[in-house]
Amino acid sequence: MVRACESAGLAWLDTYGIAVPQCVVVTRDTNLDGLYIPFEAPYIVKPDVAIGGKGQRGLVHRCDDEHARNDAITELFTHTFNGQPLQHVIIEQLMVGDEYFLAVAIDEQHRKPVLRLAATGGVGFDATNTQVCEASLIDGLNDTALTHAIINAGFPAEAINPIGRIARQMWDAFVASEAVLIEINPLKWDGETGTAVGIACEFDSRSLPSVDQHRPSLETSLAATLGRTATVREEAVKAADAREADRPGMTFFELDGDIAFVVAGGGAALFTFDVLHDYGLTPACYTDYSPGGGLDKLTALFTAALEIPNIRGVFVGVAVLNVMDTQYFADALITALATTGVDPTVIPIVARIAGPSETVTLERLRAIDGLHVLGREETLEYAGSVLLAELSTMGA
Amino acid sequence: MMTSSISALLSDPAGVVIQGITGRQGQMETRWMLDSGTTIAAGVTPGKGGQQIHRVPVYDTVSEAIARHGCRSTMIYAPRHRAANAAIEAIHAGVKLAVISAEDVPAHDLLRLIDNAQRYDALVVGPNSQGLLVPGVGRIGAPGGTDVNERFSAGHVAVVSRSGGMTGEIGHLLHQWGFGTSVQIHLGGAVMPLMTLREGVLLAERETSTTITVVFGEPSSTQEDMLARAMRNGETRHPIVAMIAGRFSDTFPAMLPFGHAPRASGDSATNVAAKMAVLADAGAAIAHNFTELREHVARLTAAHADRVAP
Repeated sequence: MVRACESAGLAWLDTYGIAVPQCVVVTRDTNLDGLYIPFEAPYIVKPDVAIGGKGQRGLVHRCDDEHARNDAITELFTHTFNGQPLQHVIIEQLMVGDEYFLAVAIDEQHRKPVLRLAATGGVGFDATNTQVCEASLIDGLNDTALTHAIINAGFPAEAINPIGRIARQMWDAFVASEAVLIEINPLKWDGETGTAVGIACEFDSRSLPSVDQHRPSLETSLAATLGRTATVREEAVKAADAREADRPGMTFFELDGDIAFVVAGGGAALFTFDVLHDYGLTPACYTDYSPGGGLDKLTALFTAALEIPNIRGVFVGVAVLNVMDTQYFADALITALATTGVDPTVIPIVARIAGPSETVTLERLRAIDGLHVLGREETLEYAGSVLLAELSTMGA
Repeated sequence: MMTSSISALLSDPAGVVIQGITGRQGQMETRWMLDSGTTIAAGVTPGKGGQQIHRVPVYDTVSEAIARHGCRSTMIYAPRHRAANAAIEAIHAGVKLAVISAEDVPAHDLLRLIDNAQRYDALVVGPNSQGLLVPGVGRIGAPGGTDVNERFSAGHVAVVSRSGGMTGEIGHLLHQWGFGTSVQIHLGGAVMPLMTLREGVLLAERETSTTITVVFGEPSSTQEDMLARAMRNGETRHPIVAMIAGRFSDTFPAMLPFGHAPRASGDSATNVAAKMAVLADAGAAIAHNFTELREHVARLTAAHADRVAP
């Protein structure tokens, strides 16, 4: 899923006819003393990032004058987000009124899009405490059901029609952009108009590129996914994945352990990770390679895992494959060993590989001095115990 | 709700239709399905009607293929941005079971497909499903690859899994341990799959040979919670052994993308420990590893020996 930062989300809502406050975005280089703001104080100052809970974290400041505003901006620029210094701060026009909550999202339990509405909202609001209105991408938004939900949510009579209009505008945005979530919290109601003051929005990264024209600009950096600055190895895997975007993807991120870990398949990776943890081994990375991703991606994955500094062991796991030729794993591992110079006689490597061409693959890998190679007759669990034993032997 | 079992659909003389049969994967897996005993009545690839693949006639549209052959099941190899529409066309033409191979099918496409499946009383498995297998009867999709008979044997243990690799691994291990498989269903790893764990278990229990169901779950999604509720409500009939992988991930921030699908931040239902606890409370035997899985299956097999068909 990909998200938009606050200023992009608000500008995007504006294009669908939803009222938003005036705002100005400043960067670290902006000269605050000469800054022109086209609206009067008080101001709301907050980080312009694609994360929720800014109010709860004390990152949203009400500033009654220019001096307080500039102090708040300067203070916010001392913060880091996802491991990186904050780059943008948003200065927003203060809106006064009651706070409401409106969202449209894909709901796993209902297995439908749902609208959630509440005549309360703001910082710390519990989104499960809302009126729910189911919708359908075939039939659209049912006007009667929506009106009932608005009434049941307890909105004042004069707000019923305006809230209904905003809900329909959100629905239009949701459908056109193939959104996963559009959440307005709070929507400020001044007795006549509802203004979206806070927005969180997420979009499906699997949609066709043609949908992008209906979306705000999105935060797609690895740092946004990992919550920290990506390493060069993580960036290299991401680049390799992007080079063949039409093939099944892969996941790679580093952790603080010392066992390089390459496993095919999401479920097998989770299971094997548990096995290593149960043996007291701490992986240096998490990987998930979808069979069918091709040799170049797999080689990039192996190379990145073996290049992690200070690894003391390597675990390669392949649950019994149906389609993919296991020789790809031999090719990728052999190339990565040559590229990185990792010596299996010094750093123990255990590979459990099963599937098409298994016999040939195991023979090729067993020819490498120091490599411990297991086939389908041994489990992933047993392979973990072999690595543990090898590490113990070396340690002794 | 459709009442056929997988084995009944696989045994249907009308056979299975393969959408996307002329592509590399479609051709290869069609060969495997034919070799394992599945009747493949027709294939579909727009613009390639009139061809034959492994002597299977190819049609331009799925409605044409189904009108001609009366198939009730389809395996879909259409690419991810066409897969949902291919399934919807098949459902509108009368198909009652569709399996989607493509991964990364857009979420809005899936929502439209779920809506259509509900309206037309059809079951859809996937996306990113390797398929379904009933050893000795046949398969839809790739389970077992080229050596299906060496990896699986007919028996009483159903396997319903969110992971493709682990579906095959567990079926293979059951065979090694001397237990056979009644049916194997790979649901696909999406947070909101077209068939949930609960629906998969209920479908697996329609096989008369099933007496135990092994489920493999993961972090993300509330499917395990929904299955536990079904167990408590008496919807399931047979003992369940649950293996939920990713225990370690509970200790990491939710934003890190462990497994097939993202975990919801702050949602305790997607926490692996919570999933295991709720399933255990509902009566499932929890397996933390293969050793425990084998012990549970052996114990339950002995305890329910009277139910195992000869």
